Amino acid sequence: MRRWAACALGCGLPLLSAAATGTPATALPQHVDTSNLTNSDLLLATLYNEHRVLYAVLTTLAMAVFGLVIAIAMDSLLGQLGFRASKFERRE
Amino acid sequence: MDFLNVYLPIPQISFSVPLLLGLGLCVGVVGGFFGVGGGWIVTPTLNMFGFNMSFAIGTDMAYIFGQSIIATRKHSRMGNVDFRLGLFSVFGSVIGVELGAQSVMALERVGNVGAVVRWLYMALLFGLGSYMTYDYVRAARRQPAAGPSKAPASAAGPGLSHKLHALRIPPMISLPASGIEQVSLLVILAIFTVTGFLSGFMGVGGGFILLPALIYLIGCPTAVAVGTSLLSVLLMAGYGSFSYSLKGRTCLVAATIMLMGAALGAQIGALATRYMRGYGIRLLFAIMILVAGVSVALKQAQGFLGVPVLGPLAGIVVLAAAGGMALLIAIKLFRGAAAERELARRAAVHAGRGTSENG
Repeated sequence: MRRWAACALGCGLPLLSAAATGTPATALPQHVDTSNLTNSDLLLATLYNEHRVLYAVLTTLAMAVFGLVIAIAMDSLLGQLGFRASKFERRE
Repeated sequence: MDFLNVYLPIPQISFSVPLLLGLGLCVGVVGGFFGVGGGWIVTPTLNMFGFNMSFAIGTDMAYIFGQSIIATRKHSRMGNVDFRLGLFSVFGSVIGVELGAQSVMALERVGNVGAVVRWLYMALLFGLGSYMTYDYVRAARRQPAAGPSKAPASAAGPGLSHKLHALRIPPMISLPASGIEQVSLLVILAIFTVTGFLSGFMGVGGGFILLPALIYLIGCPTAVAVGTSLLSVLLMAGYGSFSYSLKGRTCLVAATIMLMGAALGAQIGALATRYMRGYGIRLLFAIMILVAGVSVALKQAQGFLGVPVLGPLAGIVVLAAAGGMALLIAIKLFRGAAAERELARRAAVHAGRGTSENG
């Protein structure tokens, strides 16, 4: 039974794939037009256009730092409202 | 109402701030409660309201990274994260995701892989959802006689996890945070490779595959499975966020606004696991993935039947389910917290009476 299932999966997927139709994806622009941008938007777009690695590092780090800061701030706020996170006995 | 919109300089579109905040809040609640990233809610919604698909996926990855940090921290404080298991999950998942991605590339050379992926995705969503519902019904029938169990057992008997634990293939490891005395490291890595393969093949974060795998195959208690799944999602989304940003497919502004919504949502979701039994979490999760399956089926039917309205309807179904589930989880949290406070108050009154009678 398992062998049959493996064979069906192995042959079925490529056959289904061949039978399906679709249009190829079009490429997206990799450059942002900065002519109408000002202040922080311009700064971000310039970073995106000219220093992509730095943009990637900034995005990932910003998410990590915002996440942590927000988590700590909300923890203390919810703690004051009586919602404290502590270890508890789990029940299934 | 233009002031409620924000211009996003990278995808070069205007987007509604309340929608981003609301989406972040709902997905935060659902993600923190089920231990999933929630990409299957965020990506189609962003896409439906004007984001290009690859921008929607990349922005979703960045948001999930931040959101899972908030939720994982909360679960870790409640003792729900098995850090050792989470780390192993990343090793296995990376291998599996790469294998899955390679399989997609191979199938793409033959033809359009999109249809195959959608069929497999639907089969997995309906299969897992049906099994977990069946598992809940079986457990509910047994429960009156046995009472609530502390053991992470499946209703379908001692389960596959016990059989897998019995495989003595060295090296053996112990996972005390999950209550597992001994299990083969190779078995653990093999499980995560398979779940990673499915994630890579279908291009999804994998939380919805990881959670049932942690419960039914590895044998984690449900709350620990939720926390550990979130840790794994965090690590994978961190990599995904960097990778998509490098390809220029993330919008930092949109991800940050959604994260503000998740600030409260992820905390509500994580805290609510405290007031629900493991099987309750499993049932709600089963309902959620069955609804997700219906949404994918509607999208598939749009192509077959040529009815354009089915596409937006699929997005609305997912959004409504996420909103409804977030509300239900929040109600569970507030009711549970109120009941806990009432118990503490009664205990204090009782203790006060005891002291005055003794005095």
